[in-house]
Amino acid sequence: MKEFLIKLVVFSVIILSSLGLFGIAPESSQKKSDYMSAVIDKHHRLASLGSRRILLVGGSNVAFGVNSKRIQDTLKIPVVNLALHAGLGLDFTLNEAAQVSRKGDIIILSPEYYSGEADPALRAKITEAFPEVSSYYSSSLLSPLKLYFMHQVDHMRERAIHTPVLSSFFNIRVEELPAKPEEGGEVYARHSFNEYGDAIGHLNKATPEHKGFDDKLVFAYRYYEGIDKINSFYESCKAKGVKVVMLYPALAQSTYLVNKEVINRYQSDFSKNAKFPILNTPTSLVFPDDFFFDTFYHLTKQGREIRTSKIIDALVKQGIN
Amino acid sequence: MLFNSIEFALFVSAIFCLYWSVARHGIKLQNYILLASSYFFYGCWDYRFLFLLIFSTYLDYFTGLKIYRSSTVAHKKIWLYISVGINLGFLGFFKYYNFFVDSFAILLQGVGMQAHIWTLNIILPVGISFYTFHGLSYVFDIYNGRAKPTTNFIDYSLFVSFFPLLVAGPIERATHLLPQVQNPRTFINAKAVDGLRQILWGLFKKIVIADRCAAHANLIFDHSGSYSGSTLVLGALFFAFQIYGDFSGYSDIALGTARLFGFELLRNFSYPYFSRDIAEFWRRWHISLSSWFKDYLYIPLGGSKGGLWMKIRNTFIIFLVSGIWHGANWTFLVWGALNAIYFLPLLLLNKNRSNLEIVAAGRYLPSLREALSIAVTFSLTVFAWIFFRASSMHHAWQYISQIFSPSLFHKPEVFPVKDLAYIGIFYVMEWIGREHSFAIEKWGVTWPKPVRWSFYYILVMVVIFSIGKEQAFIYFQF
Repeated sequence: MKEFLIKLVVFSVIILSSLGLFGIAPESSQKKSDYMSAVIDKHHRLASLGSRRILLVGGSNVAFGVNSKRIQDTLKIPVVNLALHAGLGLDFTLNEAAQVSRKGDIIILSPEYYSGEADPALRAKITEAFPEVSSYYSSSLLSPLKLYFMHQVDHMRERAIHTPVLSSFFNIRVEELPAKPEEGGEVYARHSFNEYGDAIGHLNKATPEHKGFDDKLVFAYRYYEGIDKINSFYESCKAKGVKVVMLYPALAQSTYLVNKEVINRYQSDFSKNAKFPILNTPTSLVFPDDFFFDTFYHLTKQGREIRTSKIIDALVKQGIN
Repeated sequence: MLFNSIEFALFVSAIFCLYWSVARHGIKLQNYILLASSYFFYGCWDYRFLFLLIFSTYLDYFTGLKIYRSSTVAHKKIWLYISVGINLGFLGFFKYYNFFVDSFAILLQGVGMQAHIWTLNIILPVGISFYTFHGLSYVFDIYNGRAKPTTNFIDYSLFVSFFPLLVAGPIERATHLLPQVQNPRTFINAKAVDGLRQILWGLFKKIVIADRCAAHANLIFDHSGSYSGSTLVLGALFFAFQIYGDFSGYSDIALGTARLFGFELLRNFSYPYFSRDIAEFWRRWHISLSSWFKDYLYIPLGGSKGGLWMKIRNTFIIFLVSGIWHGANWTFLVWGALNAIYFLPLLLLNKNRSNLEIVAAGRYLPSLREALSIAVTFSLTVFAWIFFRASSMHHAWQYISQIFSPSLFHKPEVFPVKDLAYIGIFYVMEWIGREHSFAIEKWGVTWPKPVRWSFYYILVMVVIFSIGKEQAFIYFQF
């Protein structure tokens, strides 16, 4: 057994040393211009405002699909669009909102359908950009270790991708997908956000030839455990004087039509189990496919304005102004 | 705590050190350690259902003793029915309640009646199908006189809850695992090294093959309407390797981990994609489940001994039950029925036991006939997987219709050459190692140490490079 353990330790040291050798990511190479780094500016805005703010919370459907300035100008309440990417996970979204909100704030929550667990790679990226967000994840004792490991692996892979011999062997990206936030580009960059936290880089661009959705995408029905998480979130916000309302996200018509049955059941589950006010129905924000930019959640300029009008109407009816 | 996670690696390392450090104090302490760590492992998934696991364990332990001690067959049957009824009752409730209620509602609507049906927000306890079947096999074996019950509740609990097999099998038999629990285990260096090698291969299958294939399969299945038939064929192919890499990879990790603690678990996969017919496929795929159904359902029903209609009936029952075991959806039933249709001709023509040895044993390459048989069997299997993967019958029909359209001859929109190359390399590695219990079992054992270690190093680095989103094993939902 002693021999076995010695060999195992030696082999592990070799592996970990390789990771250390390849994977050291110096601070100076840290990118603060990528899409995830927009979190820095959103939090700066949060800190610069006094109490009673409107916080827009959700995934990229909110980042891309709301005109915060119009809401602010109409309701006379400062707005911060905290939304970034559904892949950060529902836990992140809710914990961030819970931790940054103060008494008097109004949280407008609009998560993507079945928003779930975090993508570890996105989590590593956002934590690298803004380490404070690590507290927004449900964490275990091993979280720092895991994050460090993922960061090193990610960095190692980046270096390998640019190494002539290894690049073709290890690159696992699927070229056919439309540009994703982590791949950079004008639409998906830190400078694509305005001062309110809205993603605006796409507003004056032509829609891509191949959109990342079609009329046959099928959601599988399951009871969404996020309802219970949002209920807990709502209770804790209520206790500290923060108002929370939910709105179903905007969705492309073709996607809605194929998933109508599942979305109806989703809505039914929400109406039976949600303790928080829901200000709209899924169909109220179903728009023709032409109103979407590159995914069935990302509205174009035209769609964004219509949605913003509907949000304002809903908030006014709720007495928020 | 997924098998392909840092948490699991640290957990196993800690338990391994503790377990072997107390070996000189006897197996009792070792069994306590394993049982406590198994409950801890399960609790990390969902502590709320620990009670259910412990209750199910005690139920079968208690009824097993009662069956053995009953003096009459009638009394034995009563205790058997109690165990089966409660176990299957829990399984049925957690897994199938909403399915039957929804299906009933749809049926009523079909005849113009409205039904106010109460569906419940039921959370499926992880591993319930597996540990329920562990317990049932124990009770059945006692009833049939194949095994004697144990009077040691700790030993029995460990048999049911041993953490490598707790959440997704293999489905062990009391006659195989319980004696290992009850007898002293000695640390054997070669066995531990074998275990590590099998864990490495399991991680390779899961992370390098299955997760890569999952990315493409999910993309293609979720956007199936916008792709050509040729792309959808690729999607089905990717899913076939996803589910194989995922499930057999998990099994390899489970078996390898068990070896570290001195246990030998039942083999669960034996190169099913090299099968020459469907009967052979079902002797090589999820072996522990199919043998469980054979021994406890098919044979008691009469097996293939009766007349023609009995053979047909029993075949369909087995495959339909196997289908529904996988999940509460009509697609799983159709998948099961399709496999029954594939299997039946072989059974009726007495050709279901034609290919018992591994293909091309002792040879480098298969014959042309064998290659064609493998290709046909693989194609039939991949076609059936479409139903398994589809989220609904509508989705499955739409997917298949699109395949058998003129777009089948279009250039695929998704053609990831590198990932297809990975699958090809993996297939070749499996072919080379097909006569062993896992592909790389004998790789490098006769090589010089530097070469052997370099091979393991490359495998480990390929696995690390391929780490991405921690995709849960497919079979954890069962």
